[in-house]
Amino acid sequence: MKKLFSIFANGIWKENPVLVLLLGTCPTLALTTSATNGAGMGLATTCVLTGSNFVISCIAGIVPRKIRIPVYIVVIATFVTVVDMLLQAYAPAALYAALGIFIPLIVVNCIVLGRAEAFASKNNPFYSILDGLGMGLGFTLTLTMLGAIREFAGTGSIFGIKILTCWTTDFLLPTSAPGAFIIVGVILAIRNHLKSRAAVKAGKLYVPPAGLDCRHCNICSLSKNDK
Amino acid sequence: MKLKDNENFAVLGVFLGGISLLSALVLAVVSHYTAGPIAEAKALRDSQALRQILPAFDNDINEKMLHIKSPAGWRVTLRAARKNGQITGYAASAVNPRGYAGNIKMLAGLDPAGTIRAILITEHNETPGLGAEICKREFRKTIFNFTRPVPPGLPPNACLDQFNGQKVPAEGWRIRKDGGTALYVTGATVTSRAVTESASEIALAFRKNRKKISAAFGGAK
Repeated sequence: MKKLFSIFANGIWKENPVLVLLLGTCPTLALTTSATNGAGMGLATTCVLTGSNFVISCIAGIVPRKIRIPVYIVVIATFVTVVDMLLQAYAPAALYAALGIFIPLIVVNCIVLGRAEAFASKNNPFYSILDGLGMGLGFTLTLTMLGAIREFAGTGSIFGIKILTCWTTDFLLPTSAPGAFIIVGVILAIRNHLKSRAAVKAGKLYVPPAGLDCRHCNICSLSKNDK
Repeated sequence: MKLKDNENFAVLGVFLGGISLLSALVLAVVSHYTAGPIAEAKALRDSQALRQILPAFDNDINEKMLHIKSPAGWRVTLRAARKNGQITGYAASAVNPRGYAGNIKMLAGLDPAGTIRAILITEHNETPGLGAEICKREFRKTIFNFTRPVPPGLPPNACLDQFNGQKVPAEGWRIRKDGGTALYVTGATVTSRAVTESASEIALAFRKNRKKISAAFGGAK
């Protein structure tokens, strides 16, 4: 039970895809212009991530090693197209208008392929679903938070509702791409500061958790082995 | 040899092909079931926009569409709104390719004489905060709206509302920067110009093709 919870909670803080793994930076920066957009993109990615994690962990045992990446991409692309069609059919018009052009980008979102390769292909389907849900939830929460910060700093409103009613002219920097970089950078710095301070207090050296850097992934080493 | 370690190109190709076929099958099924709702959602968006810009109507507005040429050669699509058989207005739509970032699609409501009643921008890709402000009709919700209701009707937009009820000059409207009378937004001249141009083209196209329009839709039905 404890293990199940740790798999699920991993994505929310310890291995948060945006703040720790630094994956999926494109949707993070491009889409979080408002809290609603961030939440919508996060939920869409969660659906794709959970579905693709499940299918990939089911088929991982029979996929030939040499073509596993293309196979994973096909599976992910299928889920993205399904989510796209469902959103078009059932989502509110305003949400689809904001997210529409970014939905196909989930295919190349590193979080999805990264979890397929690093987790789903090595674990059973149930754990993979949990991992997908946890990672997706972490992604959604981070994107919503980022969207709320940027929306508030730019227009004085959150979820489209104006909090500071005297704010009449929009401030463009936080809602545009440069502002996104600055705000994400500040949030990353705060998180690293908290982590390192906790490590210093415990009398340890702050090192990023093993498996979160380049070592856990063998996409590059595969091509080396071929030679 | 296990399939997992197989390195035969033919086997790999067949496997990848099989997976692709399977996913195509899944997509075909989902597409079959969502095609209806997608079309419905699109029609709903369109009819909501039409109800905002036209007076009350009770006919099937998509029953007949007329394509006319504007002075600049664009295709303007006209649909007639009727109430009890009488024409109460026209919905005209046109796509301007000269936006700051691609096409600007305009939907204008005209009264039976061809004067603009209201304008909506249905599709655009303009700069947020500058050009997009010209294209946006949005009521700004504040925390006070939890107790106070949102006013009904179309939210105002000075750049789009300025053509309502105006008679179009023979050469079309022009923004003040180009020597005309129309308002524009500083820093978004290209968008302002494109929107003004679209409104002019629609109004002029209606004026030029009046005979064709009354022949196509008739005075009363």
